[in-house]
Amino acid sequence: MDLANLQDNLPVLIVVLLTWGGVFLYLLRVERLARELERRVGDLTAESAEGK
Amino acid sequence: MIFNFILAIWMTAGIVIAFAMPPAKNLAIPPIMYFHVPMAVATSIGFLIAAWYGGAWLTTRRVKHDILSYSFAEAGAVCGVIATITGSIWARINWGLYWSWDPQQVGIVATLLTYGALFSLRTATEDEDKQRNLWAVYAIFGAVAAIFWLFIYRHLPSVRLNTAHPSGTLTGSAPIFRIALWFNIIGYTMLLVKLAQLRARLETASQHLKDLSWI
Repeated sequence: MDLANLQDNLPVLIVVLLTWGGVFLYLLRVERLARELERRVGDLTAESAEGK
Repeated sequence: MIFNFILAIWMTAGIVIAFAMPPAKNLAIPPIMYFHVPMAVATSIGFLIAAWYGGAWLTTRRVKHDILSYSFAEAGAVCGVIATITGSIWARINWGLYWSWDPQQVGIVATLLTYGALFSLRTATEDEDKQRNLWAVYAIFGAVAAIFWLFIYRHLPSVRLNTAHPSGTLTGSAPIFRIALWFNIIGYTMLLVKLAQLRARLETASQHLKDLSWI
């Protein structure tokens, strides 16, 4: 490890970490949307089974 | 939930490690290298898993396998585009040009164009079962094409001398570089799996909605 190298690159590192943080939060949001969609599909399937 | 936590920590640590690596000899290795190579590896892994699930669909006829095959191919293609862009930035740092039609650059473009054509061909037929059968064959063909373009093409005798792309630079170098590289390869492969899983979940839900609308 080269801590001097890390200090030289600190501004870029901060931007990269913030970008990764943004991507990760977006992934979590998409996952929440997928879960919500799966729940709705489950409800609709149950409703349709009851209606038959 | 645990996978998300591990992914977040692993990737963050991988990025910090990439920025803390000492410079290497004979080749400018900026932190972007620890992003580019793992992305290229994730591309190949995505295409291979897509072919695996394609074969699984042909043998088991489980829709889940077809969806996973398509999802891994899509996630692999996204990683391939990112690997191409970061690779050309790295090429600019080392050889002064973003694009020089190096055999490795030709290989990745040919691979992505092949998958672009295969994605289009999947939608060429309306019949879903036919679509799945055709896609399974496309996924296997795509993986064979990817192996040729990414690993064999630049080693062909007539092509080998024209490539400036380093081969085994880090795998044959000091352990610290190898550890940092493999750490990031594992991290970006986990990210590929996460992307493909999410895509597959959305596709599965959309299939169920489509089925419900026919009831």
